[in-house]
Amino acid sequence: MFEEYLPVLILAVVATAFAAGSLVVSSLVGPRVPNPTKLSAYECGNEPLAEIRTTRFPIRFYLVAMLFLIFDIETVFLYPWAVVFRSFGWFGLAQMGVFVAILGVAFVYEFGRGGLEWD
Amino acid sequence: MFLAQSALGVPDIAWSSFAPELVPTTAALVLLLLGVAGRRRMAVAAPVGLAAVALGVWLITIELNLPGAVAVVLGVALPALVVAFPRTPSLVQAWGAGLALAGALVLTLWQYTAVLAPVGEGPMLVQNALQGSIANDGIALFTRLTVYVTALLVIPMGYGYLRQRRIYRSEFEPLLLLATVGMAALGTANDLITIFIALEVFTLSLYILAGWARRDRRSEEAGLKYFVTSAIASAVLLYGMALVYVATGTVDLPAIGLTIGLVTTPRSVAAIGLALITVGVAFKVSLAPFHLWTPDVYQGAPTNITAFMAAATKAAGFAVILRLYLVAFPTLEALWVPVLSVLAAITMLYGAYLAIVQRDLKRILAYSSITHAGYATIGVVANSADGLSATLWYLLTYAIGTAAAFGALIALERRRQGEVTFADLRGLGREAPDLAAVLALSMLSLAGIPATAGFVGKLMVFRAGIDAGLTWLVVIGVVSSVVAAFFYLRIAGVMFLEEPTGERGRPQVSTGLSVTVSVSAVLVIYLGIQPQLFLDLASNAAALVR
Amino acid sequence: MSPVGPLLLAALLFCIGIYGIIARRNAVLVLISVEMMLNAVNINLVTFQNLLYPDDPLVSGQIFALFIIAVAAAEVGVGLAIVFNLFRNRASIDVDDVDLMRW
Repeated sequence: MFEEYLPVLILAVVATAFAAGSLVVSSLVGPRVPNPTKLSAYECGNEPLAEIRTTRFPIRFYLVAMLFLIFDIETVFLYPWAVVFRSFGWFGLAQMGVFVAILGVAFVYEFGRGGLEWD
Repeated sequence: MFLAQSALGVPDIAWSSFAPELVPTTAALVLLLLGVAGRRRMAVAAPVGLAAVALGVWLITIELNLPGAVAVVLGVALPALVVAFPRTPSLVQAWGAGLALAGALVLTLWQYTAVLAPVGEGPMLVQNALQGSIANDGIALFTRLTVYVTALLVIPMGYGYLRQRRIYRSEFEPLLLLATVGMAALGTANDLITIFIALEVFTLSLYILAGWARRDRRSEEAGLKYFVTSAIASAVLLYGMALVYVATGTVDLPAIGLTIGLVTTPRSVAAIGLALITVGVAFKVSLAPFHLWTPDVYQGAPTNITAFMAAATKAAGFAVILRLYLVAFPTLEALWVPVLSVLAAITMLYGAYLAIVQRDLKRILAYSSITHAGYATIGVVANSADGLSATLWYLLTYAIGTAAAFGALIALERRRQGEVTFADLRGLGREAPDLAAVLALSMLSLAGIPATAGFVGKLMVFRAGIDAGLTWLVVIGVVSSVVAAFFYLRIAGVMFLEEPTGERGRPQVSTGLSVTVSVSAVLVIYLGIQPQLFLDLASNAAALVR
Repeated sequence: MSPVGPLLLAALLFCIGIYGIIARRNAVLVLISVEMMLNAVNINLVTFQNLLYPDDPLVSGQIFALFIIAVAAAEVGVGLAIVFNLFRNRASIDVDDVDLMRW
């Protein structure tokens, strides 16, 4: 059991050691000449304008995130179904079809109510 | 993983076992779509109607005449409604939901006559379907009757009220239908998973319905409070279910009942699970001391939804209580009978006491619903066939009485455009005698005065309690009834004996409301004078899937 | 594997959830506490399943956990909508401010 996973373990150790080693070595031997331009945010970054805690998100983000989450979670039932799908045959397919159709009604409703429009 | 494949085959689906629930579920989905279809409503209604008619014709060809007829009627009615009310989509929603519930009621009766009691007078058969996750027995039958009748009364009751408060939205009927389906399914649920899902289907819908008036702070507060307390209750209930699962190794209620009796079962784990489950369900049906959310939620929610919650959730909650305790935990009787008896005693006394000191009528009715949960619990702790049928019957009569009371309250609230206190009742007997008569009648029924439905219910519950040797509990129940009769009769007295104060105009009674209120008043009297038919049904209903 | 660890974790999570509901005043944190309690039950169920039927992954315990996950997601959806409405009406999501009627 353990022997089978030994190569994976060695690989993990070597990779970690290499990454850590290169960081340590570069910070030790690399030259350091800081100036204001170098220290500023890189390219497309901006200086933060306000404290993160006090900024508010537009409510749209919440709505889209929630809708995504709910539809995403419903796929939880597809996995156990996929495992036993073969033994259920056409019957199982039809049953999952009903489930997906009900989700589809929810999706059409959401679309019709304008839940997916950004403005 | 592969052993699962060999073990599973195509399961046998007994469609008749959940046929009544299919109608409102489908209706909820269709009405949801109709609500967003706008001008293209016919494009939704026509194909769905056609499919329903086709299904109905096929059902009739295989000799299932009544379900087929229901499908055909509903399939024809849907496009017809869309054509009949082109300018008022809300009427299509209300009529559609009402017809679907009527269809469900017809299918429930069909189920009883054709599936469960095929031979005349004998005790009803019980049907164990979907590999044991659904039990079609007396509890299921009575829960369906109570819940569907209540929902059918609530839809016309609230139509004008919601529009006057400007809180009508097309999602109302679909949510109400889904809540109804959840409650009816809770009546049939026979394993822990089904119980949980059915419970969540109806509580999730009710969270939204309780906070339906989103600009009204009270309603919003009701939604939040109901959500928080109900979610805690669900979590505690689930923890208890998990413990019962590990103690017995199964989620099937009859199997749990068999396993708990074995020597190998760790009874202490099962007992802790039972304790947590008791806390969870006591929250749901608001037994003291787990009732704290009830008055606030009932007061804050829109009145027609309060009526539905007060009447129907009790039926669903007690259905699951009866099934859990009588089917899954009969061997732990020595543990739960004393605990539930004490809870019932506290509930009856505390609810009646607090109802006296309230001024808001909605709050009084909320405390009255707590008190009635106590009476219904007597039938559960009696732990007998009589107790079972007494509780089922009690919940039906309570639901109808409550629906009538809240219906009358809606009419008063629409005149006042706000909460109703005793001052608004003064002299109502002279201003609007019909409304006052209905309100008085429902109060008499809730108080349990003879010749009303409530009297028969109380009598049966108390008799079952005495037969089970719980005389002390019945004495407390009688004391509580006397106290409660005081505030019920005070409401009736204020209406007829005191003079009206100032000009207030007549209470507003819309057609739907007056139909509802009259029907429930007739039912209250009919069940009070001619209870025999339903009493036979109730005693038949004591047959259980064990 | 010993079930003691997961069961302790579940009990702890459940208690933290109860504590959060009682002590926290921020409605979103109350919601998170509720979810914590539900997830504690999930851990319990999966552990029990493993304890009872170690060879069969597809019997009731795990399926029950899946249903709880799905329902919990729906509950968060409704709960956050209620909290959002609370904020829109009162510009605060402090649950102690919700006291128009006696709690």
